[in-house]
Amino acid sequence: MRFVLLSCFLIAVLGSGLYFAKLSVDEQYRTLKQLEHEIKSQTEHNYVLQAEWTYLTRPERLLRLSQSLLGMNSIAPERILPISSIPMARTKSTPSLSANAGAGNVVY
Amino acid sequence: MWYIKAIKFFQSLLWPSHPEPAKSRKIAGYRLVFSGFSIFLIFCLIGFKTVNLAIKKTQVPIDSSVANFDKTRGTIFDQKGRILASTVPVNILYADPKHIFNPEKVASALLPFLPKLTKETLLKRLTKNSRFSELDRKLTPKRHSAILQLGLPGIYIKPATIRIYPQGNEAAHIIGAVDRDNNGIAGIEKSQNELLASGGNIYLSIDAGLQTILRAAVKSQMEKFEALGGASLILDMKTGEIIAAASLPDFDPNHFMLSTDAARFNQVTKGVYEMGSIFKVLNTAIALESGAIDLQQTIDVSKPIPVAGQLIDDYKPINGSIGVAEILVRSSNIGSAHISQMIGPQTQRQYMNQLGLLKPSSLEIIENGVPILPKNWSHITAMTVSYGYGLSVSMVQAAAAIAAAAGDGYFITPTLLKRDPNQPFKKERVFSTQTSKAVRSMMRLVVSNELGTGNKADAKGYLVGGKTGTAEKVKDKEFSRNANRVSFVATFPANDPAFLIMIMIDEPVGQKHSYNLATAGWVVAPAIKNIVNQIAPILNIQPVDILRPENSQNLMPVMKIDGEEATYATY
Repeated sequence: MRFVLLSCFLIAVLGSGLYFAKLSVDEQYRTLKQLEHEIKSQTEHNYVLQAEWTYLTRPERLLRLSQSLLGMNSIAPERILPISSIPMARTKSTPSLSANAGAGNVVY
Repeated sequence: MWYIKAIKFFQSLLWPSHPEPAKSRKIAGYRLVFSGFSIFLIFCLIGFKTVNLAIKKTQVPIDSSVANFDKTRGTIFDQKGRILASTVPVNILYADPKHIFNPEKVASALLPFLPKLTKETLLKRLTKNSRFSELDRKLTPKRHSAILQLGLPGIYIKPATIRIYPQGNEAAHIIGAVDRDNNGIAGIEKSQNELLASGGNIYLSIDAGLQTILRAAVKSQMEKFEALGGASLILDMKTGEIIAAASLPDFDPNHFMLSTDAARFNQVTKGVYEMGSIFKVLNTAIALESGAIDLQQTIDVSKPIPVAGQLIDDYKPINGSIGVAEILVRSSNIGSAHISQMIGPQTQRQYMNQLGLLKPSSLEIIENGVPILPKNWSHITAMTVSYGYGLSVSMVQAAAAIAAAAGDGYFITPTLLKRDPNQPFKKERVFSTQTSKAVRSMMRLVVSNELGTGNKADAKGYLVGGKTGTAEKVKDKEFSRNANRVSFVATFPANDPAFLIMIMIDEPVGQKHSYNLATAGWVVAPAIKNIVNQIAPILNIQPVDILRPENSQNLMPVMKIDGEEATYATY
């Protein structure tokens, strides 16, 4: 009899343990589904936002705005110089400046 | 009978007729057992149901509005990762006419939110004999909520996806478009439909920024010269990638159905044209490569050549004998025709074949032009082909061939898809380094020498080289003097050509500011200069100091133009 009672008690404990485990699995499953859904809808939002961002930063618009609002233009070739045309500071090891240095020596 | 006995037994339990003390005690016992058993049954039932409910699988409701979005069509990016075509979710507004009892009332309530529909068309759709009648495809969130608040029966909203093209008209011909069911019907959307439909993304060789610059420059020039159309492309000569391609007039792929057939026609890849004088670049390169002529040799170009009842003549007559370089710089048809005879038709044909001009290119787009070849490659054909008549090819083909002659001498198959920098691609040597060095020096002189036809393309510092072309269009089966297709092919920087720009303008009209001239030098060359000035800093091309030996060794100074020897300083 004692054995039967003990078994019953054990079954009851294990059964309810299993039941609560199942409940928590269900809960986690629900959270997972919710997260998946959220990811999907965020991805969807992301697509829309990316498309909007691309639309707003399309080069045609930026070109128009930078010209009309900021008065920007392309860089003139005269303003781009090779690094060698910049005179370097005089040090002891290089007593005189290179004859080629200086922007005036660059011919385009 | 046993059931009568049973009925009597139960009757005696419920309404005992003669309650005797001994019997009633027995009856009470039976009653007790019966009720105990019933209660036990009820508890069993409740327990069973409880267990059943507890072990049943939990069901989570899934919002259907996003259920299918992960199976969406892939995105098309430009080479820098800007979106050219993408898919976004939309809500489709539709009606189930079976659920609408008063169409008139529903129509007047909906009408303010559907600006594209008139009341008649709306009523027609609301009374359609089907269970689904689409009312609007692009429902904005504002209109969406407003319509929901109306609470009209029979009006429903369902989620769907729509293809959008945020860059609008830019590179529209290359990207293409899709139909209502998101199937590609033009351009890359069609040629790569399978990959895109399965969710794959595509990176094109197109750069949206350069594309914008190119299109704007060509458009403004077209407007200045009242031209019918214009086509243009920028080719990366080192990789064969087409980094911009604009065909005008063009269309907005967001509203593909509203565009005309003329606007949908891709002049860059689909149209095949007689290229005119820009073919002289190829003629010169072939002549030098095959050894038909050398740089010191001169040819008498003073007399027009009579051929098949017509005269091969020069636009501006030249007296005496001139060298190969001067023939190209001054664009002499007579000189080119003479050179072609030294090359011979078979050799010319063989080189044209190597340069991919005799068969359609393998471009990744369905709008791919098929070249129109001369029926037989005779000596007369060789003469006309030498200055760009009698062989019609697409702009992409011509650009790739000229890139081989003016670049490093390698023919690279042009592509619209971004090349992987780590992946080697096919390069075929057609011209020697010596030949290509001579060709690019001559092309530079076309722009830098005062006798050259392309002076207006000279963007200071970037050593633009080029060649002009003016091809007469065929009208009523005859070449028309008044209807021209002018073109310009430019490479820069000439000391180490990295990029090729080709522009073709259809039927420009001479203007007051161009002294009524509508030649390539007037119409296209200024656009080239403008484009180079804008794109060179973007492409990381530094202004070139030609007097530095590392730059000048890539050009050839020993060429006589107008009796004067050219020097590095004149480049």
